[in-house]
Amino acid sequence: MRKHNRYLSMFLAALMAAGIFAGCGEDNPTSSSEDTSSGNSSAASTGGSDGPAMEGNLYLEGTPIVKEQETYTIAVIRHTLCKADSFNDKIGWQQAEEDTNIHIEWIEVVSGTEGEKVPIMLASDLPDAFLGLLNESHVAKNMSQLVVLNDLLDKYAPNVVEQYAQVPDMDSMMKFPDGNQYTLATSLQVSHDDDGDSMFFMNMKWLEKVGKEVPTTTDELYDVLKAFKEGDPNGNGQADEIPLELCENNWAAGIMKFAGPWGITGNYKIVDGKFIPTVNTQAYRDFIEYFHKLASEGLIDVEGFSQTNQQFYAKLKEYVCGAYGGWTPQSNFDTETAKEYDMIMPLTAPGYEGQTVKTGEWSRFRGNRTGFAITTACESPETLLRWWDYLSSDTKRKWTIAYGEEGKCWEMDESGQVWSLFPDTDADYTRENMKYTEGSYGQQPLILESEMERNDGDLYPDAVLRYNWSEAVKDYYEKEVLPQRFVTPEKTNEKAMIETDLNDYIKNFLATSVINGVTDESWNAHLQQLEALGINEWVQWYQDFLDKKF
Amino acid sequence: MTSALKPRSNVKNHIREPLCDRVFSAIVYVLLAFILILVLYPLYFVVVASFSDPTYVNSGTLLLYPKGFTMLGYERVFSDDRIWTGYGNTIIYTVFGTILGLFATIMAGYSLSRKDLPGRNIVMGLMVFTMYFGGGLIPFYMVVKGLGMVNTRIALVIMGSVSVYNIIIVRSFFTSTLPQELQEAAFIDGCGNSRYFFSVVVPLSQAIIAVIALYLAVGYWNAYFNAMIFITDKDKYPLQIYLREILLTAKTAESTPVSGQDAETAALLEKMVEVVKYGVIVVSTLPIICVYPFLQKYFVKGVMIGAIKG
Repeated sequence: MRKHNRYLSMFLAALMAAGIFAGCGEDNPTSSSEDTSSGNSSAASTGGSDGPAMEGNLYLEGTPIVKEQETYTIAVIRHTLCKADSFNDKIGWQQAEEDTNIHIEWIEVVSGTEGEKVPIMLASDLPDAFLGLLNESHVAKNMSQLVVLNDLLDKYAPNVVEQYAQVPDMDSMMKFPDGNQYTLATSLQVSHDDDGDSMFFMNMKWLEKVGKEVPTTTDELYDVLKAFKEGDPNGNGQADEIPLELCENNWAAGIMKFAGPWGITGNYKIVDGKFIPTVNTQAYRDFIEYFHKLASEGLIDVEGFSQTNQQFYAKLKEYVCGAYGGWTPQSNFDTETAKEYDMIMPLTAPGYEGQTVKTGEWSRFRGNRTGFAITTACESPETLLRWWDYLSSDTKRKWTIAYGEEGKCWEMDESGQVWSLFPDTDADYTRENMKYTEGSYGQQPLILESEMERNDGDLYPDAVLRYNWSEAVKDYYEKEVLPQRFVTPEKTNEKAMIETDLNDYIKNFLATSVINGVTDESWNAHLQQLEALGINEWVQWYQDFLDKKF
Repeated sequence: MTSALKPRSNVKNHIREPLCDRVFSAIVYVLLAFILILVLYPLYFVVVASFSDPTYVNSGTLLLYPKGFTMLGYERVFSDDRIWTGYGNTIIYTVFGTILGLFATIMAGYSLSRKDLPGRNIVMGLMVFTMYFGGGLIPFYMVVKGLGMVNTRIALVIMGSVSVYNIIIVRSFFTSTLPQELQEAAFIDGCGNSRYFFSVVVPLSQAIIAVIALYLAVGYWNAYFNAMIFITDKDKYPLQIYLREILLTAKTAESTPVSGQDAETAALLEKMVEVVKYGVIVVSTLPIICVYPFLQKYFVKGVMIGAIKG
C-alpha cells in the first residue's frame, strides 16, 4: 500500500512539474521537506484533484492533518477534580486524534506540583508543547526554548488568526516585550458571571424583622447593622448576631470590597490615563473612619482580619451573620436560608455622591494568554500549530474539549447558541468532576464571546443570578483599568520589590486603623510611611506601564 | 525520664520514701501528664474530627467527643482504590529502602569509625560538604534522568536511603562504644574484617540499628517530594502523594464554591472533603504510630549513645 502511494505521489509530482495540473496546486510549497520517515519524503509535495497540498507528511488544509500517524508529547495540567485515567480517555481528544491522525502522549502534571515540575521540564525534559502549565514568567525566562509563532500563524493557523482579530487588543495582550508571540490563548474570552466580583448580600428577612428598608447610603447601612445587632433578628434570644461579617483571607469578603461608596476599589485607580493611589486620599481616610465606627460598636466582625476561610464559612452557617460579601448565598447556605439573602446595590457615602464604584470589570478578558506553547523540542511545530488550529476551528469542538460530550454538560441549539446543562450527578461525581474528567475545562482553545454558553434559569439559578447581578451593577465598574500586557522579568521583579513591603504595610495599617481609629497624627505618619516605602516609585512604575514605556 | 521511673519501683518494693522524694515525683508526674496531654490531644482531635460533622470542627465547638457522628470519611477512604495502591507502594518503598539504607549506613559508619581506614578524613569531609551544599533540583533531576531512573520504583528506594547525618550518628556510636582493643583481641584470635563486623560489631550495635531503621522507615513513610518529581505512573505513587492530592482536592472544592452544584450536593461535598481529610490522616499515620512504641526504648538509648559521646 505504502509503495503504491509512493509511486502514485511521485507520478503526481511529475505530472505537476510538467504543469499539466496548472491551477490545482495553489500555494504549494516545494521547498520544505520534513523528513517524517513515512516513506514519502522523496516527494516534497503532492497535489491534484485527489490529494490536498502537502509539506512532507503534513497536509496544508483540512483533515487529517498528517498522512502517516505522528506522535507528540504534550505536558498538561491535570486538575485535582479530574478522575480520568488518562487524557486520551476524554472524548474531545479522542475525536481530535481520529480526525487529525495525530496521537498525543500526555504528560499529566497534577495541579499543585507544577511549581516544581515545570522548571525541570523547561531545563532538562522538554515536551513538544505545554498546555495550561506555563505562566508569564516561565515564558519570559525561557524564550529560547519556545517556538516563535509570528510568521507561522498566518499560514498554519488561519482560524486562530481570524478569531484573535475579533478580540479587542488581542495583539498587544499576546505579544511579549520583544515583539514576538510565543503562546496561544486558552479558556474563555469573557465570563460575565465572574465580572461582578464580590457581591454584597444582606438577609432580607432580618431586614423586615427589624423594620428597615434596603439601605442605599452608608448612613442607612449603619442604622440597619445597628438594628441587626440589637433587634435579635435570628430570634434565638441571644445577642449573638454579627451584623457585617468580614474575612480578609476570603476572596470576596475582605474589607476593601466595601470601600466602593468612597470611590475606592483597591489601592489605586486610573483617571484619564493617570495612575492615582487611593491609600493616601481623604476618601480612604473617611472609609476607614466609617468602618472604625462600625468596629467600635461591634457592628463588624474584627476577627475577620485574621480568621481563615473555614472559620468564615462556619460562621455564616451558624445563622448569625446579617450581611457579608460572597459569590452567591446559594453557595454559602442551605437552599432555604439562601432565599433570605439578597444582593444589595452599591451604596453612596455622604459627600461622595456620584462617585460610587464597584469592584469588577465588565467583559474583562479572561483567557489564559500563555495557555499553549510549542517548544523547540518539537520536530514539526507547523504540525502542532495546525492541530491547534483544527481544535480552534469549531465551537462544538471547543466545548467538547472543555466540557466533554455534547448533551451532558452542554448542548447547542439550532441557532448555534451553546446552553449549559445540568447532568445527573451525585456527590461522588459532581458536575465539576465531570467537567474536568470528561472534558479538560480551561484547556480548550480560547472560546470567544460569541461562542459563550448561556444558562437556563431553572437548571442553573446560580449562574443566572450571577450574570444578572454582574450586569445590574455594570454602571459602577471602574471606567479605566490596567491593560493586560506582558512585561519583562526585570520589570516584574522591580514591581515585586516595591509591592511586597508596601502592600503588607497597607494591609496592616488598614486593619489596625479600622480597629483603633485614625488620628491626624497617625494619618500623617501613614503618609510618611508610604513615602518611605516607595509609593512614588510604585506610582511611577504603573504610570510607565500605562504609557507603554516598557 | 529514668529518674522519674525509679521511685516508682521503690514503691513496689515497699521501701519507705522520704517525703521530699514523693513530692518530687508527684510534681514530675503532673508535669509529664500535662506534656502528654499537650502532645496527645492534637492526635486525639484528628481522630475525633474524622468522625465528626465538619461544621462543628470548624466552628470550634468540638472538644472531647465526636459531634454529628459520621463514618462518611472512612467509607470514602476505604472505597478508594488509590489508597490501597498507595499503601502497597509505600510499604514496598519503606521496607526495601530501610533495608538498603541500613546496610549502607551501618557499613559506611563502621568503616569511617576505623582509624586504620586510609583517607577517612577526606571521605568524611566530602560527605559533610554535601550537607551544606547541594546541586539544586534541576541538576539532580538531570542526573537521575541520565541514569535512566526517572519513573522507576528503584529510584524512590535509592533516594533517601543514605543520609550523612545518619552516617555521622553511626560513626560516633562505633568510635565511642567499640574500643580498639576489642578489635585487636578479635584479630589476634584470627578473626578477619568481615567476621569481626558481622559477629562482633553488628550484635553489639542493635540499639543504633534500631534507631537508624526507625529514622529511615519514618522518612520513607512520609516522603512525597521525590515521588512527586520523579514518578509519573499513578500505580507507582506512594500513599503520601494521594494524601497530598486529596488535600489539594479539598482546597479546590473549597475555593470554587460554585458553578453548577445544587446546594445539597455542595453541602455534602463540603462535608465529605473535610472528613476525608481527617480520615486520610488517621489511616496514613496509624501504622507508624503503632510501630513507634515498640522501637521507642532503643530510640532513646541509641540517640543518646551516638550524640553524647560523639
